[in-house]
This record gives sequence, structure tokens and C-alpha cells, in this order.
Amino acid sequence: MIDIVISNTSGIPIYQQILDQISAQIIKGEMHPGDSLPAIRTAAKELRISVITVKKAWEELERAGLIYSMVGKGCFVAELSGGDLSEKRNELFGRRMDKDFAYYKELGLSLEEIIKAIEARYR
Amino acid sequence: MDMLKVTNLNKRYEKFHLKDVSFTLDKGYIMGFIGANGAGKTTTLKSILGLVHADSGEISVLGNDFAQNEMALKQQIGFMFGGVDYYAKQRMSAVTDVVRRFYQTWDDAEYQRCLKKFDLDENKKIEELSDGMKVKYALTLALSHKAELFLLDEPTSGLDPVARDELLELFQELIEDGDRSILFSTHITSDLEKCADFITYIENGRIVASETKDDLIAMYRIVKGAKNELERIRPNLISYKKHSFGFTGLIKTDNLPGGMDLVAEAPTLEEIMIYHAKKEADNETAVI
Amino acid sequence: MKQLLYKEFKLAINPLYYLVALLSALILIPNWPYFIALMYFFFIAVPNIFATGKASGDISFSVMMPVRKRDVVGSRILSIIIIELLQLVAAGVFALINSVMYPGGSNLLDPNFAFFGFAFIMYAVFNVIFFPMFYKTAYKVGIPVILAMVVAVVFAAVVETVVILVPAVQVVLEAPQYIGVQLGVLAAGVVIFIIANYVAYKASAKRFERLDL
Repeated sequence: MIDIVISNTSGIPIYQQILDQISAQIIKGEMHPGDSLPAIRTAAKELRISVITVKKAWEELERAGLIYSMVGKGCFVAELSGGDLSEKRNELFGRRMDKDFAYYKELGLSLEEIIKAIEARYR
Repeated sequence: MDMLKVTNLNKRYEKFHLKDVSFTLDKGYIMGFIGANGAGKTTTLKSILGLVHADSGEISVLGNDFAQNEMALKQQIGFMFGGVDYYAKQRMSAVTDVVRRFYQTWDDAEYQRCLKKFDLDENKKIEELSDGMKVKYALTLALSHKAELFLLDEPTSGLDPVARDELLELFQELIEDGDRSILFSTHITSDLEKCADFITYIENGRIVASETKDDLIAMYRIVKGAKNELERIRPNLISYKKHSFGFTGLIKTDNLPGGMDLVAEAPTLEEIMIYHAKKEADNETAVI
Repeated sequence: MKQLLYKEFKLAINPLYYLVALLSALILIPNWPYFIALMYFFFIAVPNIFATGKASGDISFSVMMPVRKRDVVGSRILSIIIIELLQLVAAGVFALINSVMYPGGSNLLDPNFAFFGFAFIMYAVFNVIFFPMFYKTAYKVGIPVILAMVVAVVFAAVVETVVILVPAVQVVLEAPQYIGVQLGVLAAGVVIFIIANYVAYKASAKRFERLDL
């Protein structure tokens, strides 16, 4: 079973939180290929969020190639080899980095400053 | 599939005008209908059911024109208007005995199941029920006649936070299988933050927005800035409030200017409502 | 319609008001304006039934059901007619007893066939005024009920006054040899009652359907 924890005050859109958490669980191998995801409407009810939000998260997961859907049966974790997974991981990482970097540049941070800040946080 | 489609509904009263109200509710979703008191929520809901005669406009339920198929379509509509204060002196069992005869699809087993689930004692009089139980009773009746469209006017008003939470959870349960839709009006926006898929927002008789909740929130931003920023951004703001250190205002995300020293964050539904209401109030003052 | 009528008698109309029919027993009083015995129906039953309806949200409830609006009006009018007929049937029984108790008749109109003809007309007058006026708002009971009541009472008073002032009329309305005339009055009363109720229903339904509820 997957774990999803939603924060209503984090400022991060809820679908994004779901997307991030499930992606991480798939990439880290906590969810295995063929594992089924809960039905959209069930998940919405359980998480007390709107159906549309869950739908959006599931759609994004499918677009990222992490899950696939079968009409009438639901959604399943995609058959991804170890290589695929690290590729997906890099892809997600890259996408997030792009977004974050755009923001850092907007703030006028230099590469050195960014690297320094990352190092400080990674420890 | 459209469960409910409202197109260009108009109704003119002496002091109030419902103007070109249009929105669509898909099958299997919850739509919150928000707006201040007197914004036209109840009038709209009543027009949908033909209780108020619209001057113009069309209503269709499950793809059928409501005016032409009123009797058949009402079979599929569950309603709750203005609290369930009908026949307050009567026992629930007596009211049910009457209601069941009106519906071809009445299912007694389902009725009994709901009574049990909601912990309702049929022998109680309507006036003995708490507000929360009254809503549950209304839902019991609707579920027992297999309603697919639930029109609920302020079902959560008068409920304490616990009862409200329980009811909203129930709403989500109702739509879980994707066959039912719920349109419910409320002025308590926190009701919607959780469960609503779509929000239709009415202000002074006009629909301001009818979107998925996520899109609606994404459409607007709350901006905060210093006083000297206000002049530049003022024309873009829907409305704003000044305070001694600066201002806070609501803006359409598309109108957010770049290159300014502003804090822009996602609004709550309540903030969207408050700033739109403020705009209406400002406009009125301007006219005077 | 059937369901609405069921609703009227099961939920909307307190059975107590059928008992108003028992006030027809006042017909056993000697030498009395017997129309009064029939007036309690609109003195007591009608105002109370409609006031209770208002308090219990009867109309709001009914129009939500899968029914035609005109049937909401029709069922209510029909249920009131049923109570009126109940009242008249009870009055008929007491009138029979009256005729046995007082073979000499009374100074006013005796409770005979002609009396019941006029009674039907009195109810017809009440209904044709009250219902269309009430369903103009489906809310305000007071003025319509008072106006309808006053006109119905005036009608009964005129009949009694004519009976007192014009002996010939009393003879025609009471003497056994004029039984044909008396039956004619009854028949005319019934016809007027039917027509008036139909008119009342049509006008009421039309007004009610126009209402914003």
C-alpha cells in the first residue's frame, strides 16, 4: 500500500504533493511494477480531497511514464527496469531543478552561491 | 456526461437581477455553489427546479430539457431546501410513508439501510431532530428513491464543525461510484476546500467563475506589497485593502505584473469571495 | 394526484378537522338559522388547515415532489371539498333527526332539500372566492378566508331574510306539495357547487403556476 500525506498549508498544490510522493515511492522501489494504485474516487474519498485533484495527479504520473492505466481496471505501476528507474529519477530531478534554477536566477543568485547553499543543506 | 446544465438563466426582480447564469455539473462530481447571502444562490437553485420562473434560460438534467420533462426528471433529483422543517410535528415514518409513494424507484431496503447507517430513529418527530440529522434524513429520502442529482441549499449551515465534517465525508462517499452529482450551496467556504471538485461562484446575480476548484484558485493570486507599489498595480487589482504598512489585494494571475517587489500567493476561496464582494461594495460607493 | 391526496390526509390535514362535521349536530336546535351549523367549517377548519399548512411548509414540500403544480392545488381543493361533503352528509343525518323531532318545522328555513341546495351554493361561494385569492400568493390566508367567509355568510343571511320576510317563498321552499321546487333547488345547488369548484380550481391552478415560490 502506498503512503500519501497531504499538507493543506504547505503552499504546494495538493496534486503536486501526491505526484511527488508517489513518484518517489516508485523510484525508490517501494512500489513495484504491476502494483495497483487505488481507484481515483476511492483515493479522493480517503484523502478527503477532490476527485479532480487525484485525477490530475494520476494523469501526471501516467504522462511521466511511471504508471499505466487499463480501462475498467485502474492504474498500475509501470514495468520499469533499474535503468528505466534511474532514468525517470534523473528526469524528475532535472525537471524540478529546471524549475528551481529558474527561480534562483530570478533572485539573481550566482552559481557559487547556489552550490554553497546546496552543500550546506545536503549535509 | 452533463448531469446538470444551466444556460443563460435570467430572472429580474425589483431589487435583484439574476444575469445570464450558466454552469455545468458533470456526472460524478461535487460542485460547491458559493456566494454571499443574497447573491442569488437560492434563486438559482429554485429556478433549476422550476419553483421560480426564470425570465429566460434553459435547464437540462441528464441531457433532457427540464421544463419539458419535469415530472420524470424530478424522480431523479434529491433536494434539500431551507432546512427540513416540513411537517415538524410528524414522525419521520409518517413523512416517509407519504414520500415513498411519489417515487417509482423507491427502494425500501435502501431506506432501512440508510436509517441504520445514519442512526436515525424513524419514530422520532421531525422537530426532535438536530440540524445534522435533518440533513441526513433528507439524504436518506433522496438515496432511497435513487436520486442521481442532489440539489442541496445550505446543507451545512447550522451544523457544528464535527457534524459538518461528517456530512462532507458523506458527500464524497456518495459520489465515489461516479453515478451521482451533488450541487450544494454554502457561504462557508471551508466546506469546499476539501471535497468540492468544482466551484461556481455567484456574486450579485452574476457568475464570477465556474471552474474546477484547483483552476479557480490558480486563476487568482493574493498580492501583498508596500504602499509605493500600490499605485502601479492598482488598475490590475480586483480590489485591495490598505493597512499602515502596505496593501493586500486580489489579482487575476494573468494580470500579475513582472518585475515588482510583491508577494504573490495562492488565495483561499474565502479571500476570493471577500475581495470580489469588496469590489461590488466599492462600485456601489462609486455610483453614489 | 393520488399520492398528493394521500399526503393531504396523512400529513397535512389534522383529523381533528373532520370532527367539525359533528358540529352539524347544531341542526338539532329548534328554530335556528341552520346555515350556522355548516359555517364552522370555514370558521374553524379552513383557516386552521391553511395556517398549519403554512407552518409545516406543506406547499414547499409538495412542489418538490415529482408532481405537477396544478395537482398540488387540485389535491388541496379536492380534500377541502371532501371535508365539505362530509359536513353536508353529517348535516343530512341530523336534518333527518330534526324533521322527526320538530314535525312543525321552524320559523326560519327548515333543513330540507332546498336548505341543502342553498348550503351547496354557500360552500360554492366560499370556495370560488377563497381558493383563487389564496393561490394568488399561496401564503396569505387571512384576507381571502375572511372575505370568502363574509360573502358566504351574507348569502346565507339573505336566504334566511327572504324566507322570513316573504312568506310565499317559505311556503314554496318548505311545503310538501312544492317538493319538486325544493329538489330543483338542491339540484341547482349541486350543479353550482360543481361548476364553482371547477372554476375555482382552474383559476387557482393558473395563479399558482405563475407564482415564484
